[in-house]
Amino acid sequence: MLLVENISKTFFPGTINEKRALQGLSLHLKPGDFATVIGGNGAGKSTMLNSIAGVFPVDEGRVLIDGEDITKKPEHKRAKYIGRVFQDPMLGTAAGMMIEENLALASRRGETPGLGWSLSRDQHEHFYELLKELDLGLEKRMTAKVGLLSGGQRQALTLLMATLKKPKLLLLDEHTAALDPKTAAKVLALTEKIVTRDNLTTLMITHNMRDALRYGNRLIMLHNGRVIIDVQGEEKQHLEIPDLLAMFEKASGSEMASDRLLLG
Amino acid sequence: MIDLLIPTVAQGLLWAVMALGVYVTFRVLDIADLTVEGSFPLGAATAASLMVAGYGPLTALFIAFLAGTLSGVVTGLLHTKMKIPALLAGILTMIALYSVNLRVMGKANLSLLGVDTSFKIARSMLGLNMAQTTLIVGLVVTIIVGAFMYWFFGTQIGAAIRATGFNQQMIRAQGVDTDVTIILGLLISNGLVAVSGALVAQSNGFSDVGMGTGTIVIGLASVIIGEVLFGTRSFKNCLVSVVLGSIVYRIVIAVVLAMGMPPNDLKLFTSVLVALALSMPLIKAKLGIRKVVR
Repeated sequence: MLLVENISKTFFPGTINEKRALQGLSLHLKPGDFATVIGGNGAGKSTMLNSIAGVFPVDEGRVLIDGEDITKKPEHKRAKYIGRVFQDPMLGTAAGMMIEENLALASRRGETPGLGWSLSRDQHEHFYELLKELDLGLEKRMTAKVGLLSGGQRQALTLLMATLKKPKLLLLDEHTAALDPKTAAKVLALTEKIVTRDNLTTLMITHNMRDALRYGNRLIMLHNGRVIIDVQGEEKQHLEIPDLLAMFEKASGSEMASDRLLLG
Repeated sequence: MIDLLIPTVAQGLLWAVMALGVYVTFRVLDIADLTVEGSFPLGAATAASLMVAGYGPLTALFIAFLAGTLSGVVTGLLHTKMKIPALLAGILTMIALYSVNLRVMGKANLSLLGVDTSFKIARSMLGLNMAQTTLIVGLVVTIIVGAFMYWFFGTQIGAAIRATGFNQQMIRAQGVDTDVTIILGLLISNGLVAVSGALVAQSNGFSDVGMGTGTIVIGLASVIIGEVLFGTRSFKNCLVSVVLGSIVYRIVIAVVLAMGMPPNDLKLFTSVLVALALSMPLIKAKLGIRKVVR
């Protein structure tokens, strides 16, 4: 499904701020893989996701989705294959537009917009049912501007938008990090429900080791811009935090220093 | 008083088309586009030159619209493809258009004396006086432009342009090329501004290379006055507010002139007005009054 081959990305090359964010990272996701991604600050988690989404070009390597090389495609052309939810709840929606207008835009992800009405009547019914499933009462506020919603509601809506038109790949960039623990748990449960229901190939960055162990069928750890741990299936189901720490020390040759990764 | 009111409202309607154009960039796209200072006289120069050369006023209006859209595309390309900040891109186009406008007219001022403008033709058809005719023509054009905008920004492309103004990251993630939506927005905006310039030139009976000075400030004044006085509940509401804002602005100007303010101070007055209106949210917050404008 997703094939990342040996990608590298250096920010501010040749300056004092030079940052080698990705150093020959490779990754292969099978259809239906739900992989959680962990790693310390600066390990390259977000850079990897943004490279796949096409936010910036990579320096080396290739990105393929379903066998199609998308390495040279700009961000908006990759959107056809990829649904995304960002860490910042403000980034996933247009605040000044109504809930149903946002959903209408998402329902045409990857299509060239035309001169037909953006919002049609039969869509309204469809959106109503989908919002009802979220169980946040949003179905009663479909004409409310998204800017009036709470962070958690916005993330739930963004998740719905990202999966409204089934993506080949779902990218979740710490999408619950900005929420309070209770809301985060709710959004995560919703994420699992949607990903399982639609059998979506998913990459989910999280800073929380417990969440990384609890969700998905696969766990990937990045360190210095490379994948250093990749466990899946049976092995992942039985993994505990101490095992993970031991694996990290063995793989990286250094001790896990990030408290945030442990406790967060 | 009523003698003064009709021509004032009529002028307000002709300029409302420009204000609607400014609304597209300033509010929908969230860009302060200075191209309008050049596209307004560009519309006037194009229409006036064509009419002097014997073309009909409607043809002149249409070509003026096309010329305006072209200037918007130039600013759009400078901004999106060359990564020049929007404000600077607009200034560059505006300055370039000064020379273009002189070339279009061949001189700094072109009189339409003895030329059949749309207003003169409409007057003989309607059998009304000039002020009433201007009012009716202005009303018809404003309604057409308003209806077009209401339709267009409800379409898929229009919704994508509006989303671009709110959140470029989000709409790119939906697969829309924001370079295209920004260029389209600037295109429509400056097309409308040029139409307004062409109408004002026909109404005044001349086109002048300097007539664009202050266009952006008048546009902003109309948008902000309209929003404050008449609300922003829905897109339709916003469009009506901008048109009414343009009329109120003209009335305010007429009143202060009638009260004896020297016409030379007009631009100073307008700037102060807009500066005050723009700082309203802060002033209100400081005074603890609840926010009315979005």
